[in-house]
Amino acid sequence: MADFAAMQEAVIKGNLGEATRLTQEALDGGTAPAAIVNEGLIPGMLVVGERFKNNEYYVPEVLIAARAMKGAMALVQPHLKEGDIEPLGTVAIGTVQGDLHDIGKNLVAMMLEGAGYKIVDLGVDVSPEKFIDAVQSQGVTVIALSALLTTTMPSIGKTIEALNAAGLREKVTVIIGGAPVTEAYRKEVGADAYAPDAGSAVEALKGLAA
Amino acid sequence: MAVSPRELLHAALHRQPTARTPWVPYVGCHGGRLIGRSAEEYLRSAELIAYGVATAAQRYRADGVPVVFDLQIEAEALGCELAWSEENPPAVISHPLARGTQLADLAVPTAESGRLPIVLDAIRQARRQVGDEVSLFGLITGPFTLALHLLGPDIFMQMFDQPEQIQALMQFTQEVGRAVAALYIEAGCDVIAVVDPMTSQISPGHFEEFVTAPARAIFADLRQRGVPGCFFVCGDAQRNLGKMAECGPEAVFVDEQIDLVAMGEIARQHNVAFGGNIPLTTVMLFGSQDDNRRAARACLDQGGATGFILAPGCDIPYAVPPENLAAIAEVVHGEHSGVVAAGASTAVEVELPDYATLGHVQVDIFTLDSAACAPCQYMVAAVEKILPEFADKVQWNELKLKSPETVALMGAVGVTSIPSIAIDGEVAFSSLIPELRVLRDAVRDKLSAKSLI
Repeated sequence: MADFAAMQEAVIKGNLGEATRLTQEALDGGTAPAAIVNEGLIPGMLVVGERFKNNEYYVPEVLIAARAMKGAMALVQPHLKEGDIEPLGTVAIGTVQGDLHDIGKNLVAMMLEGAGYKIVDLGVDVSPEKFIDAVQSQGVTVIALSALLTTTMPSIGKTIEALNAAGLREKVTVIIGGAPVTEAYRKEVGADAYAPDAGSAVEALKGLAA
Repeated sequence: MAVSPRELLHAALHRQPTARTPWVPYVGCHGGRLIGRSAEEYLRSAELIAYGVATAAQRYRADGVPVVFDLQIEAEALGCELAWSEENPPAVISHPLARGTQLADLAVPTAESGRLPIVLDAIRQARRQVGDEVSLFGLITGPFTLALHLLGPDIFMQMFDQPEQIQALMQFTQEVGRAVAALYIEAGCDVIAVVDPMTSQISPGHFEEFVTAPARAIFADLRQRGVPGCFFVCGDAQRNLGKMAECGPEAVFVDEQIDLVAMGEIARQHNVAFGGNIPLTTVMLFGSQDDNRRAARACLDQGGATGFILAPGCDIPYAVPPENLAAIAEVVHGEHSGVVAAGASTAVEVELPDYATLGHVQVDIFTLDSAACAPCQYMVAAVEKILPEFADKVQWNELKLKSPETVALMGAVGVTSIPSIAIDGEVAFSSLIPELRVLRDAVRDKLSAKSLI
């Protein structure tokens, strides 16, 4: 029987060596790969999200936890079969056109990945066309838009308009965030969710799915 | 003898009582907007900066102004590449230490490095234009933010993996800070602000491990030079505020994510002055002149009369309408008595309901205006989220601090911070947004005390 509690703890503490060692042991001992993910790694990452939201964890703690999670996932991945893990959705994430800031966006991507979403990271300064292309060609179900500056924030609205014009708006959930973004702005541009920080991004998406 | 704006500001920085609260509009690239130039043109020209600073000091009737608000000056001088834009300060887009440059290869910038000649010339010209009566703030990039510029986001993991290397890097950025501060002082700045927004992203433990010693060294150096040092942070640095105050600055300045009343407590405990925190986007950029007057009034009331300096939350966005800043100046100079806020003497009498006999529980949310104040908005949202489950057993109201009646009611209930939630006339949550579970329990307690559930 694999020690899921220890596995969770290794992710929570961001202990890469311990997370990969326990994962490899569990695989060698015949534990189902899906169980390792669903009962060991993901619950650990959820605790990390919770702590980040409660200001007990900060960016560095989240980053090393995500690294431990990723390292362990890399070991499990080859053993997973189709349908082993229920995909929560595929998120195309990017900092909007004109904006070059990537720290917040990367953090949200890591949190969502840790929570079980598939991530298509489109990078920074992403045009509306690139988001549309991702929806059309990569099975994207969620668009996550980040803007750090008041001057680039309008690109969020433009991207949503472009999705509308392309007839794709109904196909995707749109979540937005970044320093100047507010709930009032979300309403104004017609996004589905607004997350004030990376921890609540996961919660906001799950809330919409429920 | 008349007290000059600069003397007023220095008195407040030293926690001495002042006839009115001093005001420091952080005019950075907004100075370009003020004189009709792009941020890039502005931040690359000593003449334009000096002209923008002098124009701002006069038009906004400032007690002090920063000469340049650009946290990329030192980074650029040390080899970071910048991307420029029309309406923002430049952004760092490459990190030399992540691209093979060694720390030992970096040398502390001199008066000749990067844009430092422009900044130094701007300080000298601005000093000539504004005279000695107005304070000029020299803003240096804080040691942690500069370290992040040099190394990139890898710094966060290396804090765990290779703490000694990060400490060595912080030692270097501290030396850079001291050297640049000395140049700014020599050119004519009479206050230095250490601006370290990225420290809001690390825990108090990491702050102490990596930031405390370098920051202390910078502030000790300033103290020796007889120049007040201020510590600026933008972002939710709530848990690090005490640590910041312990580094030995004369004052700590915070943005709108920090509750000024709570900041005031911390400042008094540590015997430092403090400043802030008019909301940048919701109020200054998008608000009306009245919104700005109200926000300024609220900050003045929350900050109190001693050791407080009124300032924006952070670097003023380029496109803020100058009328909004002028409106704040009216409040600072006591010319707008029509503004209502806590503490204003109003003759309005209010009578509180007899809560015990109400057939429901009454939840009142005191806000500036939930549409224009992020914490207010979250607090209202929290209440909206839990209340449907109680149906008509609970009634709620958002009381916007916009009328004499609301102000009087706020006083009667005993609300001291905005936003706050009062349940049946008792302040239950002050400035911090409660977790839904906690809020739900508090409402349930009242309901069961009244035998409504």
